[in-house]
Amino acid sequence: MYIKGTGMTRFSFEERSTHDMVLEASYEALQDSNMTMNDMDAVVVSTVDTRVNDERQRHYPAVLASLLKKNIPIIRVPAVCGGGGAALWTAQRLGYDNVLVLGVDKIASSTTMTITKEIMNANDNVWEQQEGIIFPCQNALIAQQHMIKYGTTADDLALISLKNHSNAYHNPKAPFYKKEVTLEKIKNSYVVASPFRLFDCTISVSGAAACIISSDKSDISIEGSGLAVDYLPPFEREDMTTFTATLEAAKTAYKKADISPSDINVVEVHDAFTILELIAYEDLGFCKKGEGAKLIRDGTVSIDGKLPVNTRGGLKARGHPISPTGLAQIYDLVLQLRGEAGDLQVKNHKYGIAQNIGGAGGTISVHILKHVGG
Amino acid sequence: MVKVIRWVCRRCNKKWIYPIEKCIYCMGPIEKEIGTKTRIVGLSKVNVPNPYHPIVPYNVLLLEDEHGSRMPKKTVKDYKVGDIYEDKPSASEHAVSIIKIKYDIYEAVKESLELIGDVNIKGSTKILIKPTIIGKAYPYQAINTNPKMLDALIKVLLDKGAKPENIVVGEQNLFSPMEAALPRSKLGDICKENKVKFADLEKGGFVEKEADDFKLKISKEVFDKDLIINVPVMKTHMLLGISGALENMTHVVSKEDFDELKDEPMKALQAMVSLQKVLPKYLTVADATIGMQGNNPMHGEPGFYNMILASKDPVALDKVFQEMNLLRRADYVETAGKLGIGEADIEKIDVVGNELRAVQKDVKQPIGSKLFKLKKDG
Repeated sequence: MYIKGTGMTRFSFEERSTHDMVLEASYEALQDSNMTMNDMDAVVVSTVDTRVNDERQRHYPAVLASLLKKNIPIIRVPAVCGGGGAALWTAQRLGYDNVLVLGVDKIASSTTMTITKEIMNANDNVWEQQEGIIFPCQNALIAQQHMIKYGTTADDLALISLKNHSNAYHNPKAPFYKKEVTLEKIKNSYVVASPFRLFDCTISVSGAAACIISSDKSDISIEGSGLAVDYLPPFEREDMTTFTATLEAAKTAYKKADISPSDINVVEVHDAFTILELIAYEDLGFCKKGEGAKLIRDGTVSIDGKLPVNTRGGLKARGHPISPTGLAQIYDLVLQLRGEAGDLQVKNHKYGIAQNIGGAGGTISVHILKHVGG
Repeated sequence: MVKVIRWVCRRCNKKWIYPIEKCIYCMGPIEKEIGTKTRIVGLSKVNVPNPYHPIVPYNVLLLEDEHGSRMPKKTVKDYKVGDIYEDKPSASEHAVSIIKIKYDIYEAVKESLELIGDVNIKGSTKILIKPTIIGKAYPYQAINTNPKMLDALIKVLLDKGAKPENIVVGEQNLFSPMEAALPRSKLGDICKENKVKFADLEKGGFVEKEADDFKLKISKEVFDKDLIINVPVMKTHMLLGISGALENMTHVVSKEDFDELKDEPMKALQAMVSLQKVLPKYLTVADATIGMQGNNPMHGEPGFYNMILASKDPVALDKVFQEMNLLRRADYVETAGKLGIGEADIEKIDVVGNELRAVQKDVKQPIGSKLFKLKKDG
């Protein structure tokens, strides 16, 4: 399948309905692909069952039918933070020629306490939620295990945060656009759940992203894609410092694309927490297990490095509205592969890879895109 | 001790964190594996509150047992990686255990007893279990004692050596016919399955006892047992503040006496406290599996506490329930404390299993609503 066009709203705290946001992302994707809704055979949408905003709406496919005025199959694929990638993975397997893939969530809509509780619902109720494992804590425990096992430091994680904020400074779709964040600010920020500070964590925003895939050739092909699921609580897994679902999804995607990690030019990974980016370096095969910190220390993953990662800010600084994130990664990759990323354009841009995570390594999709010209 | 529970297929070498009946791969038997020697292999101090965990900071420990299985544990105490973690039993008569149910009510009930010094049971021990049956209601409504809770308790007692013929489950339904409530509650089925007798206290005899200024007729069943286990459903309550250990034992009083007192709330509260002076000592293993929150008894709703509380002191247990749910003081509990029936000073109650501060959170308060009046008038 090919990517015809992409679209996304600015990820922000704007007081807009999901209706508005999903339409804006769809308009942009349709324009980008030179298509209209008449051309679409199906819609695949990802959105979470959030109860913290004022919409109180659960039957989202029918909402979209009202909005898009279509009576075609509209299928919802929720996978919490990994919903966008899971929707894209699903859309390729439905057998339709043209599919609009959407992700939308209105998360910035209540108090931090309420949103924290809402997001915690992605954890195991009995073993985790009742023991106080909020999402940052769940990932902090993973980070700590990586630190104990491999000597990764809080300073390494701060460098990842700094890199992604530096990139987002130039991304008009990011909530941190034109906002300077220094290493000092990162290192002195509030401890949310040790060892994580505030700037180790993504920011909860609202937004929508869209992508149109087609069997008709375009300039961007989906060369390979994989999706795998792992046990819900990280503590249940044999090794908390590696995500088996990434290994499995990446293996499938690389095999289908018939390339190896060394062929990849630009990377989008799921840095909801800084440690997740570092673990992704390892699990996607860009370095040996336990050596992820080297890539951030030596600049390999910087915008001007050998393997730029999260070139437009990643989840950390582009923001993370839950379901749209996986499609925002595709949006950013497509810009890079087409050479349209402006100030953030990377030098080599033939192959790009996106890794999107739902939960703490629960549902993971990996997509490999290639610029095929045109 | 803390228990790390896993359900294991030895043949396939697979472990589950949920109870399963047989292995999904080989269809072979599943063994319960319980780790008790736990070491701290990770920890995180959390500074962000949420409605389930409003008091910060707190620590989440990552524990690993002798089988290599892990579980998280919330605490407000400070530890470091490498420390041994254990919950020690308390020898205090006023100790209250708070146990979170990890998908296994049996293990939770067992642990709740072990942490308050356990119970000494012989084959000849005559036991009365006093659940809550007050209405024709399904188990999910949490009006009556959860049948899973009763089942677990009976099995724990049997495993400790009790004989089914020496166990009586006895209750008196003061609000609706037992004939209707018992089947709907599923508690009758549990008695049958475990071959223990159910006794409708209303149909048994009563003995009159003087309790302060009251003459109360009390079920005979209460006075010929070696061990009484009170199994209340823990609830918020619009009038009482809470209904739990102390309130549940009032159902051993004759309906005639109960009805006479119920129209005089202040007198009823006094009688509830005085009654405790003439009852034999009893153990409470409280059902907070689902429990109730909000405007009980008119418009309560399931509380989803997922806990068991146990104590030899019903006053202390009620006090702990009130404190853990940040509820207003229940006057009758305070009075019972002042009269020496039990300990109502939270500072003097030894809470074991989980720290009180680590389980404190808001539940829906029993504050009433103008809606009730509107409905009534309408």
